[in-house]
Order: sequence, then C-alpha cells, then structure tokens
Amino acid sequence: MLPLPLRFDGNEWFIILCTVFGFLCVSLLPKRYPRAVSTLVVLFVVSVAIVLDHSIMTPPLDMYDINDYKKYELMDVVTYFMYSPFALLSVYLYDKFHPKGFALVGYIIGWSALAEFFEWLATLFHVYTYTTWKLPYSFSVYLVATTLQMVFFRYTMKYYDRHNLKPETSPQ
Amino acid sequence: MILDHNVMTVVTLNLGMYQFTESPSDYLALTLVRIVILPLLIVWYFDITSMKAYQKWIWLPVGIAVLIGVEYLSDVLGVFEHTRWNLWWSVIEWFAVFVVLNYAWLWYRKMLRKERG
Repeated sequence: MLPLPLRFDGNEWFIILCTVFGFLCVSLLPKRYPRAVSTLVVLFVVSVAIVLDHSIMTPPLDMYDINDYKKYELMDVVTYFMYSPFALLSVYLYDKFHPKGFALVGYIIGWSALAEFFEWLATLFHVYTYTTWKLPYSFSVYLVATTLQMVFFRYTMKYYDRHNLKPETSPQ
Repeated sequence: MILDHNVMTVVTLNLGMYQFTESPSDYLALTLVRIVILPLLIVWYFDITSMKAYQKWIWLPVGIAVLIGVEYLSDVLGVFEHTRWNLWWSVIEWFAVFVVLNYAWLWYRKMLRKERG
C-alpha cells in the first residue's frame, strides 16, 4: 500500500537525520510549556503540511513529487515530521522572547527564510522534485504557515491558562 | 484531517480506486470537503457524544452513515469519483478512522490530566 524507497540514498538519509537531530535538539531544551501544547503544535504543523502537499502534489495539480515515487510512499510519512522540530523551536523562542510589532514581523520572516533555506537543502537531496512548482513560491506558503502556527500557539496557551490547566497555576 | 487525507491519497494515487476531478472548481470543492466538512463532522460527533462513553458507540453507525453520505454525495455531484470502490470499504475505512481517533483522544486526555497533576 505504501511503497518502500526505491533506493535508500541521499533523500532518505536527509529526512531521517534531520528528523532525529531536530527532535533530539528540541528534547534537550529546558521545559517551557506543557507537553499537551507541544503535541498540538506538532499535530498542527503535520496537518498543514499534509493538507497543502496532498492538495497540490496530487493530480490534477501535480506540482511536485516527494521522494522516489509519484505515488505516496512510506518515507513521505516521515517527511511530514521533519518540519516539526523547527515549529517547536520557533514557538519555544516565541514564548521565551515574546516579540511584538516589527520584531514579530521580523521573527516570522526570519523563520520563513530558514524554512525556505531548509527546503532548498531538501531539494538538493532530491526530497522534493518540482514539476510546475518553484522554490520562491514556498516562501509565501511559509509566511502564512508560520503566522498561523504562532496564532495557534498563542490561542492554545491562552486556552490552557484560561481553563486553569497550567501545572503551576492549577489548584492543588 | 491527517488520517482522512492520508487514506484518500493512498486510495487515489497508490490504489487507483478514486479518481479526482480535472475541473478546478470541483477540485476546490473536494479540498473543502476534505479540509473543512469531514473534520468538522468528526469533531462535532466527538463533541456531542463525549458526555457518556457508551454514547460514542451507540451513535457510531449514524456517524459513519453521515460521513459515507457526504462521501457519496460528493461522488454524485462530481467532486470525485469512486472507480473501483465498494460501499463496505467505506464502512471499514470510517470505522478504522473512528477507532484510531477515539484512542488518540483518550491518550491525549490522559496526558492532559496527568500534566494537570
């Protein structure tokens, strides 16, 4: 149903190493917010990636392919977790520094630029093969996705606080 | 949403059992069905049946019937086409999605309660 990689080469190693290294880095950070919130952030990022990819990489649009096949393959599933550590790190730093106004705009542009750079690296390793898609298009997608992610994180944290769910603020 | 998108992509791209429309407006409708209507119906179902555990299982056939209804209505309206598909596979598909979601929901609730202390 989900084919295995055609050859276990550059793209597979890139995805595995980035995902493992990313989650390892994030797990070493001191805890700032509940695991329930970080789980939702990961789910949100994976959902956005799947919705966008499955809408524009499948026929009739078919703008690019991920990994070895035109079909949906096993490594594609892992690919969706590759961006999660970036998302966790971006909301972590957002929560730590609380950028506002122009600083927030700069923060979102900075993370979008980093995601764009990371996608460029991924194309070098043949994780993405474009047909009608172009790399600069992705920047606008990252701007929207990063903004949505920040809004989602703020809303989730506010909900958590409003319902007195934070461990340190909950009644004993 | 994650589960539904994955299932639909596997069934369409890998197994060739669905055919997506070539018309841009119908494809937009399909995207809205996948992103908005189906996930909202599932969330609504969990919300209205979450008061008592047995309600989820009692109302499950109705929930699955509604989801299959939306799926087949989309087919009738030309949003996508079931090419080599059987109605019973839809029943199995939505039941499996429900079971996975139910246990993911229970796991998340348990984690939330544990973190609250």
